[in-house]
Amino acid sequence: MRWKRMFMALSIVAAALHLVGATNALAADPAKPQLALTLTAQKEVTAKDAEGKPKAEWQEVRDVKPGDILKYTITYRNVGTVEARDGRIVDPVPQETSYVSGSVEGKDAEITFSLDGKTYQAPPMLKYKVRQADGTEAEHDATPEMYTHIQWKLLKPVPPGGTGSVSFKAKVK
Amino acid sequence: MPGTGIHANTPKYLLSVFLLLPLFLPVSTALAAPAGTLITNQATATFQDANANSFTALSNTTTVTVTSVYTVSVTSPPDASGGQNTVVYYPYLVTNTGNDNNTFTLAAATGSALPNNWTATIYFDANGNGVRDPGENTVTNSTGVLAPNGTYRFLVGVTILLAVPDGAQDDTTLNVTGTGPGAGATAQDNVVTTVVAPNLSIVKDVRNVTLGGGFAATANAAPSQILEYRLTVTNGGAAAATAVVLTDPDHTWTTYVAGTIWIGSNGVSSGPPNVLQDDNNSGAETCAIPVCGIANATAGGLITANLGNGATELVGGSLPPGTTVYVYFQVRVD
Repeated sequence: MRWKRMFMALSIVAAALHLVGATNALAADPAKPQLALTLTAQKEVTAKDAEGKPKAEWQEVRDVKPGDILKYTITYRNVGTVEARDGRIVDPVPQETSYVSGSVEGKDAEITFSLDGKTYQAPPMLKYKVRQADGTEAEHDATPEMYTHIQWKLLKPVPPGGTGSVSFKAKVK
Repeated sequence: MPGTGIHANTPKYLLSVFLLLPLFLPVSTALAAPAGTLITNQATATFQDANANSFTALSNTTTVTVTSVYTVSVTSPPDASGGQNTVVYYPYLVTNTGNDNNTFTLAAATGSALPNNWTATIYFDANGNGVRDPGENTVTNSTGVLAPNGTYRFLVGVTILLAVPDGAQDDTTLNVTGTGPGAGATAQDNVVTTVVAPNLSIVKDVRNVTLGGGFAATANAAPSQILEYRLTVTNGGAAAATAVVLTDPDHTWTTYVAGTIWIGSNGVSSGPPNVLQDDNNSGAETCAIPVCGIANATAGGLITANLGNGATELVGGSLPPGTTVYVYFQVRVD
């Protein structure tokens, strides 16, 4: 009898613990958006088509040489349960590369660039200053090679299961 | 492409941001990424839910490796010239333009296109000033290990032989070749060296003074008649002729007429502005201009004329390229 009472008590405790665990699980995994990002680095290579003729295509690579053009593609998917709003994707231009002018792509996205990873602007107003030998400041338009970061502001919410991709090209220094 | 491109904000907004956040950036030159460099990248996304709760997501990290590229460049100095028995130096700069270490061999050879077979020697330019200075005697055939963008300065010295005429040429080919895995990196230059040397010519003609007439290659004369010789000395070379001494010893069957030596620029006759000489080699006469000379004659009729700028009673002077000077003297036919 005593063993039976002990078993029942333990069962109640176990049930209670299970209930608490379930509650905690619900609190940690509420309905929320979740963008999953996949980044690929590709290089344009010359392959052959079915007829053996050379054709250019982008392939993921592990090795590059100075002067090669890399294409970075960021594919996003909302794996959450609700839509993701005000999405912004930021990708740095690797230091050993320089952004290739006009190569950025991003459907339904507002694209801006940065010279420091903090402030983003459209190219016409991206400027920088150089302090000259005489102490005065000279103002210059930033060139694409100077961009350090690219930002895509997604203009539409990403629904659950929704996907998209953005990309840019960078030249290996 | 629909939906693709750069969406500019309003100018007012952009201007205000620009004014608040001017960036001071250094002006730099891009160097090739060194071999072995890992280029990593990772994207970030921020987004919100309907309640404006913010979330962040990171992408995977991509990594690509920069492989070795072996290239080299060498400067190309202009062709040059030099005198006989001199060395003409060509300054060179080799730059490792690849992205990995490389050691380059240096080789210079002459005579591939203009086979005069002068010699070429490569000297390390220790102070890198493009001139072979005293003490820079290290002969080299290698740059040693050059890091990416590393440089090596040296001089190719081409020795011109002594007995070569003005205008003679020889070509020198410099080959720069990488070694080991970088053996495919090569560069080449070619220079042509030209000799600049004096080229003196002497034209001797004669006229019969007694009978009258102009100068010609030959003249007829009877005993006791007077002949006048004109020697036209011209430097047709590209360099000055120095220590120029003209002698005319051969007066068989004639006797020099004392006090008839004239020297100067007048090629028509022996008179002024040519200068009459005193026939002796004493005194302190000197020439301060190229078209000039100081002459003497011995009792035996040996005519000696020291010609050119700087000539004295005892030594010859300098005749620049293109200079012509005339020497006249008379003899009586025995």
